[in-house]
Parts: sequence; structure tokens; C-alpha cells
Amino acid sequence: MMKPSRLFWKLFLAFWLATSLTFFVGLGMLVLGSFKPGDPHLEAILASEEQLLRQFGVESGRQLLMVWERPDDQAIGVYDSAGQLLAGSPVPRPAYDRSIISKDGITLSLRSTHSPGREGDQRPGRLTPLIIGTVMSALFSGYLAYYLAWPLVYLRRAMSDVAQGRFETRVKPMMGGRRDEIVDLAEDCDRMANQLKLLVEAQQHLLHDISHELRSPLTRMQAAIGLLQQDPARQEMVERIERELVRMDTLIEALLTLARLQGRPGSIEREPLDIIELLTVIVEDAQFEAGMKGCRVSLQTCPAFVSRVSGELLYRCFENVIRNAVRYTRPNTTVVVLAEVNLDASCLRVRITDQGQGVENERLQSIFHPFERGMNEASAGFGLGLAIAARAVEMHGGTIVARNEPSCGLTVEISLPGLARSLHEITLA
Amino acid sequence: MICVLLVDDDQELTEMLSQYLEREGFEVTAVHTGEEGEVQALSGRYSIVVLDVMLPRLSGIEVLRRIRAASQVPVVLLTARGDNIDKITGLELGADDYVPKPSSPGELVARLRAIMRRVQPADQPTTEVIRTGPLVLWPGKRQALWQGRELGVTSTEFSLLEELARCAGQVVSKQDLSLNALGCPLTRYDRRIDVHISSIRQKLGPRPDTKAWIQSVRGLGYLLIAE
Repeated sequence: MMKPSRLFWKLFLAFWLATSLTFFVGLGMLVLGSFKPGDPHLEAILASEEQLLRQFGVESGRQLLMVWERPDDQAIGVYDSAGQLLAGSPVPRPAYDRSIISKDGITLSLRSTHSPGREGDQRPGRLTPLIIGTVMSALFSGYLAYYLAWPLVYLRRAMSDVAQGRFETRVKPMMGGRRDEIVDLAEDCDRMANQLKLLVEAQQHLLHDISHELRSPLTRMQAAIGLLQQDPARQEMVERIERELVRMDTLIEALLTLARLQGRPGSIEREPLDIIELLTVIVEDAQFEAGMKGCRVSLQTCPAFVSRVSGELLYRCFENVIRNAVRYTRPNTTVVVLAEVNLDASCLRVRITDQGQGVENERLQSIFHPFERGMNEASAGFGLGLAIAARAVEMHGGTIVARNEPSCGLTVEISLPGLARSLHEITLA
Repeated sequence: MICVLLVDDDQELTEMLSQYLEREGFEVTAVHTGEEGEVQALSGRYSIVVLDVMLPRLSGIEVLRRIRAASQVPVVLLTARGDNIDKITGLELGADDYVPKPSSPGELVARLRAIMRRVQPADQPTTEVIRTGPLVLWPGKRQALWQGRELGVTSTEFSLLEELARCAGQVVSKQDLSLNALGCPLTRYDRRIDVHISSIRQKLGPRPDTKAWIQSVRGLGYLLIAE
């Protein structure tokens, strides 16, 4: 159950206020209408006076009027048919005049300066409360509808902008100082637009890079073919073309691997595997390459660390990172591969440290982006190795970071979750 | 001997292109960064510069901008095939031509030769003078005076202007302009002539009656108004 939200309270209060206000206004009109113009006191006196005159005659009528504490501006008088005042005070301009036959059989006239009211039925029309209620609720509903609908109009416009590829559209500034779920939605919409923009830009950038990378070997092949046409004796150009073909093939394979790694973590096949054993094999292979520049790869490791992983992906991952280290370490130095398991055996940490120049601090994160290469290393590789390694580690729920060593060189640290955690993740996925 | 400066970050490619161009009779120097390219291009030692647009850090377009700020040395851009923005910006900034990558080195040589033919006319009498209105051209010296002042035009722009000035007051077709001034036939969707002409127009400024000196005649070509 979701917590009642701001919008909930706004709606609740608005409806509640509208209905109760309408109710109270209607009720108020009714109550006020029944009291307002009439005077119940005067009405009672006049009624009693009339009763007394009818039943007991003029004398008792006079006594009542004498004991009546009349307000200064009111007067009640009893006149006979000749217009003679028989009891009470004189009434010069009667607002109320009623003829009565008394007990004695005399025709009397009971006059009052004020009317007891309700004579002409001055009560407001019975429809008035209804009309006022309707108008009130219409006003409230109108305001409420406007209040809810206008941000949605902006939101809709922004969404259709995004759908048409205008990702720079922003809807939050239109919302003013308002704060509720609709504004949160607007904020989410803005965030989505921004995210989409970044994604599309990244994709375009990647496509641009891919076409450039594919074009470079093609250009070199054309140059080689040109040279071969100039001088058919230059057979080494054929080897060159072959080399470029292999390079293109490698690139395409790396790109496909990267594309495969864009999927969900659940989409890779896993098997229980000793990662330490995997590392040993890779280090042995790298030893040969390192030996050619007088370097060594030293492996310092713990006994075994078994986890459910994709062996192929992790092989590529560690191979890329270790070969990278061998490539950039200075001649006659050692690349250290250090693997350690933390106390509860839940996590394996592998550190690969070279003794090269390191990278600029601002590039420590971007080296894991596709086609990100250092300067002056145009032909050193495609810049896909670390991108593939990073994606492979992420697919296994691990982390990869690079940092410069204080002395010199670069350390890439890869953390991988152990069997327990990765199993847990698999069941979740 | 024509000295070519090759600016491209792909060292293997420049090495092969250098070999190819040297066999074709050019003298080649290759550099691999934009900064170096700029310095070398402005040294005055080269007759023509071949400049890759996709250079790391300092892009080829920026290098071209800097070269053009100080020199009218002919520049051929190497652009990615299909990247029209680079082509148009490059030409607008005063590149003389562009060659898409990848294309055969033969194509590059043909373009280089065409430009060099324009820049170094073999059998033109150096004394020839073309005058039309406020424009005076010395094709032999590749020198142009406009309203008495030196007109800074690239060699391609000069060739186009020369073609138009020779037939001042008449329409010159784009096909002829392309053949005679650029040295290659006009292809479809080829915007090179239009971009160069618009650049020349800017340099000439408007006429007193606010019309441009070079009029485009739709479907036919261009015409330089003769006074």
C-alpha cells in the first residue's frame, strides 16, 4: 500500500472542502431564511393579545399590553370601529391591522407599528440554496480540474517532443513553485529526456567510431593495393593487406562481443568455475608476450575461488586487462597480478598493476568506454579491450576501477562476487 | 619537384602513401599531429598540404582554419566518406578539394595533379592580364586585384574567378567550371563549385546596387557581372 501522497491530500482536501462548503452554504441559507424578516416575540404577543380579546374581552387585553415591556420603537394598540384607542399605545401608522370580534361582541381592530412578519412570505426562494450550491461546486470543480489538467498539457507536449527526438525539451521549469506527484512526474520526464539524449549521443558516437575504425584498415588496404599496382613486385603488400583483413576481423569480433554484453546479466550462460585457475592460464599465455620486451608477469594468488560465471567472458576480461598491462609496462619491468579473497569468501579481488606511465586522472573512468585510446597509440589496438572487460565484470555483478599508482603505473582492480552472492543473483534474475 | 605535406595520425597509412606518392614523383613529408601539421604547413616549404580531418586533439578542420588565417597554400582534405558536414565546412574554410577515405591513392594523386596544374600553369605567359570591372587578374602570377586591393583567394578560388572573368558577362556552366577550374568532371550532388563560389562572393562583397558580383543562373551556371 502506498503512502498517501501530496496529490492525494490535495485532491482529498479539495473535494472535501467543496462538498462541505456547498453543504454549509445551503444549510446556512435555509436557517437564515426562516428567521430573518419576522419577529417571533412580536408575533407571540399579537397572537396572545388576539386570543385574550376573543376569549376575555378588552380588559384582559389591556392588562396584557400594560405588562408587555415594549421596545421603544414598537407599539401595539386596540381600537374600536370608531377609531378610538381602547388599550395599549397609539399606533399612528399601523403596519399590521387585524379586525377581531371580542367576547363582548364588539368589533375591534388590533394594530401594530411592526408587522410580525411572513405576511407577504418574504422568505428567499426554495431554489436559492440549490443554485448557490451548484455555482459553488462548479467553481470548485472548475478550479480543481484546471489545477490538475494544465500541467498535464505541458507534460503531454514534452512527451510528444521527446517522441519526435527533441530530447532537449524540459517541462519542470513550467511547473512553477508547485510540489506534488505531477511535478515529480515532470521531473522524471525531464530526466528521461536527458538520459535518452545521452544514450542516443553515445550510440551515434559509437557508430561514428566504428565506421572510422573500419575505414582505417580499408584505407590502408587501398594504399597497399595502390602500391602493388604501381609495382607488382612488392609482394610484402599482399601480406599487409592480409594483416589489415585480420585486423578488421578482430575488430568485428570484438564489436560483436561488446554487443552481446549489452544484454541483461541473466542472458549469459554460467558454470561453476575456479577463477584462480583461469588467471593462471591467462598469466602463462601473457608470459610469452611479456618476455619479448624483457618483462615478466608475476601471479600472487590464493588457493581457489569458485563462482558461477561465464568462463569465456571472464577469460576475455582478464586477458584484455593483463595484456593491456603488458603492453604499457616499461621494458624489463614486472606486471603484478594479485588475487585475494576477503574474509568470508564472498568476494574475489584481483589487482593488475603495471609499471608504465599510467593514464591522466581525468581519463581513469573513460578508459572503460569503447574506442577510448591514449594519444599516440593509433595502431596499438581498437580501444575495445577494457570496454569489453568492464561490461563482462558488470554482467557478473562485480566492479572494475582503475587508479594510478603513486610511484608509477596503473592498477586495474576487479572485484567479483563469490558463489553465494552470484547464486542469489541468479535466483533473483 | 612538388613538395607534399601529409598530415594524418595513421602512421602505417602515411608510410604507404608516402611511398606511393614518391614513386609518382612527389616529395613527401609526413607528420602525425595537427599541431605539427600547422607548423609545417606554414613553413612555406610545401606546395600542397594533404590534411586528414579526423585528427586526435586538434582536428583537421581547426588546423585548416589556422593555416588559412596565415597562408593560401593549397590544401586537400581527407574526409570520411559520407560525412558531408566536414566536406562543406572544409571547403567553406578554404580547402581546395577533398578526397574521401577510403579511396585509392591514384585518386589522391589525380586531385593533387589537378590542383598543381592550376597553381603552376606550365605554358601560360606571365604577362597575360585579364581585366573586367574592378577586377584585375594575372594568371601567370596567380595574383588578383579587386578594386585596387590584393584579393586573398585560394588557388581553387582563383581558377574559378579566372574562368568567370575570361567570359565576364556570359554564363559559364558548372560543368565547364568544374572541368577547367577544378580539373575534374562535375558529378551529381557535387557542391564544391557552389561552396567555392559563395566563398568568392563573400570576398568580393556586394555591388553598389546590393546584388552580388557573381550571379547564379539556375540550371545553367554562374556569371560574373561585367562593368
